[in-house]
Amino acid sequence: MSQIGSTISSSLKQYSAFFKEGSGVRNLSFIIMGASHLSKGQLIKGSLFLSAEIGFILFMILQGFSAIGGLLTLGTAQQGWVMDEELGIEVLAKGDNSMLMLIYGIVAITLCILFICVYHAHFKSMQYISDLEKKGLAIPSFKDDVKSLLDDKFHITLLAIPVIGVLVFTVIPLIYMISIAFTSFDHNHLPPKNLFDWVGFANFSNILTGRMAGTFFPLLGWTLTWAFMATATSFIFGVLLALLINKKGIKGKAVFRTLFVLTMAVPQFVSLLIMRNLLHASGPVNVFLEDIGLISAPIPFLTDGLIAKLSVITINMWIGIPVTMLVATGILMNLPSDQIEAAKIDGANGFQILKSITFPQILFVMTPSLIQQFVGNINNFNVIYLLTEGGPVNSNYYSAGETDLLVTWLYKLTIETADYNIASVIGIITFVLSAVFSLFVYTRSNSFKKEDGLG
Amino acid sequence: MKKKLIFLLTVCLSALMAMAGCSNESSSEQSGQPNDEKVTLKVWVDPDSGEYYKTVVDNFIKENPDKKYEIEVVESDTGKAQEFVKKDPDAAADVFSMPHDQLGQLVESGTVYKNTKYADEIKKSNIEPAVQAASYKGEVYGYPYGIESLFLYYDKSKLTEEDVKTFEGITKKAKLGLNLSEAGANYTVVPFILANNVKLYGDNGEDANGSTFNTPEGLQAMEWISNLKNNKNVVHVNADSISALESGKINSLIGGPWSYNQLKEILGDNLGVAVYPTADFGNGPVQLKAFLGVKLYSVKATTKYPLEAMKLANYLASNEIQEKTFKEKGYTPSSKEVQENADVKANEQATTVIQMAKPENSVVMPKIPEMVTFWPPADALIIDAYNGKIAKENMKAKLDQLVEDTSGK
Amino acid sequence: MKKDTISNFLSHGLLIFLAAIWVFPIIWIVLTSFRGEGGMFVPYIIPKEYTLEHYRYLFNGNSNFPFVKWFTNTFIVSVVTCILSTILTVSMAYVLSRLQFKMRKPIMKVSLVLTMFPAFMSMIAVYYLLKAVNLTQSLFALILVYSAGAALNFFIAKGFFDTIPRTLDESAMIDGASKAEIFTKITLPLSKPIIVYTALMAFMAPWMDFIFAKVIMGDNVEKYTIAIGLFSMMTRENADHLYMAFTAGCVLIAVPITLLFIYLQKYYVEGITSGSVKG
Repeated sequence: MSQIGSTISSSLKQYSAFFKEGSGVRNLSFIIMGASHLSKGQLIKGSLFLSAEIGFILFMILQGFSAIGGLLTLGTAQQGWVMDEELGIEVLAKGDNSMLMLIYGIVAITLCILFICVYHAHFKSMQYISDLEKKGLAIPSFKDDVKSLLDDKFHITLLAIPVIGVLVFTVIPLIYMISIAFTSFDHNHLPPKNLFDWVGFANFSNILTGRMAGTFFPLLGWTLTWAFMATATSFIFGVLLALLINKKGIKGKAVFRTLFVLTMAVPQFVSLLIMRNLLHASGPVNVFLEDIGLISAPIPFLTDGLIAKLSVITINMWIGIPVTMLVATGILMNLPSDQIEAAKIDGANGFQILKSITFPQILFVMTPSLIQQFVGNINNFNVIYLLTEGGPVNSNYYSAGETDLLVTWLYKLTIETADYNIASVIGIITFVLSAVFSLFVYTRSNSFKKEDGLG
Repeated sequence: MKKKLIFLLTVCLSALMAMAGCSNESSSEQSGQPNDEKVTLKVWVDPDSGEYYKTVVDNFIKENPDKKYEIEVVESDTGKAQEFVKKDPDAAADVFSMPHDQLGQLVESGTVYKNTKYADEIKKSNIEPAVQAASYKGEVYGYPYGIESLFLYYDKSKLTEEDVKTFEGITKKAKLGLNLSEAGANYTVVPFILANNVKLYGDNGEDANGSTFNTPEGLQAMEWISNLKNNKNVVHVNADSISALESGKINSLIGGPWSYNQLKEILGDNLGVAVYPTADFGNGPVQLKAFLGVKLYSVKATTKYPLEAMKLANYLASNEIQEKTFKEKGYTPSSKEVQENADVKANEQATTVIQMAKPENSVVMPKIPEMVTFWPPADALIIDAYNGKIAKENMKAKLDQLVEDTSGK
Repeated sequence: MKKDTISNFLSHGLLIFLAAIWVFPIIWIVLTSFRGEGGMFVPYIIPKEYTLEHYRYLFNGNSNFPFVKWFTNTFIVSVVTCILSTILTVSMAYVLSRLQFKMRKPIMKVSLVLTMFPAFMSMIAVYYLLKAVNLTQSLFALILVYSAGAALNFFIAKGFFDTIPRTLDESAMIDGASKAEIFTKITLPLSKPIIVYTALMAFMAPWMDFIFAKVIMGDNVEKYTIAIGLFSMMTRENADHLYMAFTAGCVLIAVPITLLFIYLQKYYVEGITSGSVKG
């Protein structure tokens, strides 16, 4: 926070210094963006700045101010019914829709922040030009600017579109979601009929102290256990499988790889539904085991708390191992073989090579993807929802079952009980926990450290 | 350094601007009332009934030549109607089919039109529970067109008509399949508890503080459920119920009209259907109950053509169409008159559902929005009780908790 | 020599056993799609009767389940998404692996963290953003949404770029190549495996997503992708009698993707063996 503050204050100082130093057209640019560029012949750049400013001002007048105002109040006019004499029935008088006001308010704020960035870029650009002038160098033409985007500034070119995409479709929705946690948007305040309002931290205290805590903490524990087990089993066995398939002397490598990879070609909503039937108390697996006399009563694969937990982890291996196998195969083929050769000459056996050379190398390359898988498993909606729907139920929990992850619980809280604010709070807490965890692991991982050395 | 940022920012800026710009247009849209224009309406109907309803709607257009109608019939998972309508009322159908228990949520979110014009007609022609289902807080909203209830299927070669009158009679001679241990147990078993003079959200299912599960009767019913585990002739079934019947693992089950055809194929003439039996919770026989569901058409609040949409909804729920729908799709009618129809009377599953709809055999499923908070804990409680995970002395506390969690605040 | 033979034999045996386990559920799906009797639930594997009826049902142009249309929709969406996402993912991964600039570390950390919020909670916001620009219920919206988030999946690709020796870049730079040239002329040709991998993953997503697409498409059955289309068959009314058609549809999804896998595997391995510079 303080870092941002000092950045802002230092920028402001620069602004005023620059302003005092300059005069005329250049200072006019502080109000009319691009003026200075235009006066110096940078026509395209200047007009881009100018149109950005005009566009922004128009937007603010037409929509922006009211959208930001709406964000503050979240609506005042409630929907109602008015008698329409002509029709002889009551008709709907539309009120404010708190949810939409929240979304569009966030969009407006984002635009304002973006405009500040543009404004700052504009200032930096002026500063750069004046430096060049002082040194008596030529002002770059638009063509030069474009050229530098393919070289020095190549990262900007490559990042531009991904960043916009992420900003619009991930960041804005994310801010919306986080904002919900501070409102009263629950099943009693459903728009469009009802307005909801800002309530501060009330939802947070409700969850951490109230009845929800009794569900939240056990589910958190299981979510972490699940994510760890699911990631670890898939990783270890996936790498082993890759090693096995790529072993010298194995025939039909491609065939085997394809067979395993088949599981990725079948949509999970089908394969998991099938698994569910397969493991049902009177499904084929139990019937078979009973027929050959191994068991006398069906095994409750998905209906007993502990067994269901083991089952979902096992079934997840069916899905996860081929994924890791595929990635690990790619890595294995790329690994430098000189180390292994050297170790072989030194007389190391296969296991030692695996343990001290191959595994660490794979781990090094895969750490980031492992973290991503771990987090993916924390939010692994499909496997749990399609296999058990969170069940078997547990009457000690609030709206949750034994195998419910936080994410499936959230789903139930939003779709089934419409308590968006509570769901959002849980989402935030989960988010903070997993973010802190993975940043912690990531910055301590070899791949991050080693890369630092290179950087 | 950041000079080149401008390019991406301007692109971004204009994109977002366009976005915000359009947003206002759509929200300031006026719901005008053009007179000579085309009246375009959309109807959401049940899955697998689209073809049929297209002919019905064509009839409606023919019968109303005064306006130029253009009506689109779309099949939709009507069981999720409230989810779809609430997501974006503008994109929802003008007239949509829904199970009545979602009415409370839709009314509370202001997305459904009051049925003021045809309320009297509906009250007059439909059975009382259906009218109750279509109303919320004293106002009529929906247009009922069918009723649904679970009932008892049994194998006539194993059980007689006399046997299936009591729960004890069934389970003495044959095996009964019930979902007691998996998600969805609440739907079948909660009404059993209600049969023992327990209330769920009061008498009409609209009182947020009217649940009485923690009474001695409630406790008694829960104990009865716990004891089912010891009854070898009560078998837990769920998705496998039909195949379990086929393999002889069970000889009777509780199911809905949608299973009829499949069961008929398996058992043929030996398939029997009956209303629920009585059961003895400890104080003599009590008639077991089922939840009664009513299929409604509703008009969305933001429709551009409210009068026409209501007319269409009323037409779809009219006696004439209910009769036709019964013949074509087999939905049990909610209209008193159509229920007396000879064809309906000759159909055993329809007559059974009509019997089940009587207040002594069923409870109209509450439509209060709090129901959504009731389903999951009810499931948990029933399943844990059945599996012996709740000690007898803790049952009262659990029931207290259930009532507290699911009551209005 | 003998020891090798035994271990070879055992390895093959183990692999065959494992492959059998992995393929078993898929075989059941295929068998179910030909099953002539029963409904959603049967307690056995081998059907008693075989029929092609379910496949015929899918291709007969039922207006509520326009399977062919869904297939085309999905194909269009996945091809475009595949191209866009691959470009975005690879660019992002390359930038974060190779180029040095001030915001690199923060961007990496933020991207890592951004994927951690449960996505479905933001669906409704995305829906209304799309609605504001009148894009709901269009295939373009799906493409936009699937591709937009792709950049956040850069970790695997970045890990791959990290393994390509930097000496290559440096020598090219000495020869006067610009960064764009290094990227397109040196790094990309070496990156076939990861490009194929990324493209394949991106291509598959639209065939599998049954939640998000549904939110965007609403009731517009004509615009459904195959996943929501098939999933929409599984309503209470239809689940039992359409179950076999549902699995038949699934087989039809799996076939092109599997073929693609088999086909690309050649390139995949080729790309790895010819492209990498081993130490």
